Amino acid sequence: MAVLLMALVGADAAASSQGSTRAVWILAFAAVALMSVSLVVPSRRSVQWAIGILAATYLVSLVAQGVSLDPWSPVVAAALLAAAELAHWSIDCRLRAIDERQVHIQRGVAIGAVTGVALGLGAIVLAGSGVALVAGNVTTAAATGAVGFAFAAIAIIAWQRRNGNAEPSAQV
Amino acid sequence: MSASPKLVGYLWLAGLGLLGAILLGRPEAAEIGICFLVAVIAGLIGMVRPKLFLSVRLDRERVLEGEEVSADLEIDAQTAMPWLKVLGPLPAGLQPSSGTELQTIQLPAGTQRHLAIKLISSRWGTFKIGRLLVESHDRLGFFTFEQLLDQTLVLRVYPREEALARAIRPLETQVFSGNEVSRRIGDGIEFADVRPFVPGDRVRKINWPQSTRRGELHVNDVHPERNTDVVIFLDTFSDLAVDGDSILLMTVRAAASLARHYLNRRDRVGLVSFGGTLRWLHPRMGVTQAYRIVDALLSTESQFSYAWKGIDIIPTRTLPPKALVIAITPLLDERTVAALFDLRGRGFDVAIVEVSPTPFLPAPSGPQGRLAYRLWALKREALRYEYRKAGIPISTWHRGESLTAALEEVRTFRRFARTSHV
Repeated sequence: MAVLLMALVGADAAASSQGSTRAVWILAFAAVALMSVSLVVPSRRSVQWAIGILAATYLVSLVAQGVSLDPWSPVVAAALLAAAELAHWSIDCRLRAIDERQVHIQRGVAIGAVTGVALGLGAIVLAGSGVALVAGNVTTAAATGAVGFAFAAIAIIAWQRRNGNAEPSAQV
Repeated sequence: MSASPKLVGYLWLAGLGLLGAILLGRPEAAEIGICFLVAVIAGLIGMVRPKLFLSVRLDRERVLEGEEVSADLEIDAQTAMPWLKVLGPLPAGLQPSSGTELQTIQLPAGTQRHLAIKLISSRWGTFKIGRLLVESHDRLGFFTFEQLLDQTLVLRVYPREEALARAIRPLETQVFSGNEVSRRIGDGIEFADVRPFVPGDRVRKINWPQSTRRGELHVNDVHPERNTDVVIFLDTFSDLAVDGDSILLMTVRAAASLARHYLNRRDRVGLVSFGGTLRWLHPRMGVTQAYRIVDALLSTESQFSYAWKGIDIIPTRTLPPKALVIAITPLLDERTVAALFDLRGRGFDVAIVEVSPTPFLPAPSGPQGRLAYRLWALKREALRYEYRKAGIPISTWHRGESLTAALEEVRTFRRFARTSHV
């Protein structure tokens, strides 16, 4: 399912690009192939790389097209998120375990909900991008702040992982 | 608590998306970044530090090899656990009946759950279990909380015993009553011989038909039923294993079967584990001794040692006079080979059940390997001949074969061979 979603996004990006079709096709194919490999191996890091490559491919195709705004961008973004979530779910299911059905149902529901919220937010961003008022320095400052927040979160998590994750054992 | 690589990856994607949006001036990049940021925020909102109480117990502490035992895990969840992985790392030789050690469950807050993990043992031994790893994840799998339950439970798996119809008959019997028909003449039931009457013979022993035919009094001689002393001699110097089976596993199974058989016949059974560490049990009879032997066998292991050991180090009382010594050995160590000759030389009634190491060896490769293998096999055959020449019956017990067949070979040898003193 994740590979299928990625293939759809990649095919859409490659089909709609005009100037550098071959490069976009190659990038899209590489991303889908990497995702397939990461599911077979399995490797979570490769999943992120595959998603990153496909996202870059999509952006390259948009730049090549020269369109100002892609109306399908929220769907593409949500599809990328859904592909990543499904890939991680698939990797989790690779463990040989006796699973309760309810665990999978709840996760499916959670993925659906997150993708739906992401789709909604993407649509809001898309709608906001068309408004001339919010464009300019304020938007750039807000975006920079958001980027700063994201990198700060990365740094905090990386620091926590480096300093050990010891937890007291369960109470008996 | 630990964050999964997924969380770090999502944050990178979100950050790069937002950065790309600023640099390229494309809101599509920001949308991609926001999507992943939303997922991370959802994960952070859904993250709750789990609070749970765990306990584990076994339904039985002693089982036979191949029997199933249930480990009951009780989980008392104080907080909601949308995704809880319960992993019980098990020692080698013990595996879950379902084929997996991992169970994934979900628990609402304030609920109690009992998980029954069925375990089955493929080999005998003493297993320490009760170590459980519980991993709690948030709904999307961004964070993992690991908790370890280290509650030591001991499971004793007794070796599977083979039913033996007949075992090896000793050459000599002891003085107490038992089930073994002695080769000597005395008071008993089994007919032995007819001889002329001598003063002192009891009248009830007179064979009247024979006396009438011969014209003089003849009496019947009978064999008494006596018990025997059996010492099971285990060679634990070396071990070879393949496909979950090993020489030592076979050796201990055979020892347990023989001990049970002789103890059921009211014989006295002792044990000598001759290896890197010498262990012994003085010959005794009864149910208590059966448990003592099994417990001693459970702790049997092969220990490598360079030290030369002979039978001098075995306590004298462990090897009573006229005892039948049944050696179960792969005959791979020179010390055991020499010790068995030494025992025979000291007048003990020795019988050898050779656990064949051949199935545990890799197939020889190349002409040199095949030649070496043939020479090795020839050397072993010569050793068997030496044992037979010394009056020691030896039979080879192959993997997958019945122990009874191997013992029958020893019995056959004894039927046709005479005792020699070397």
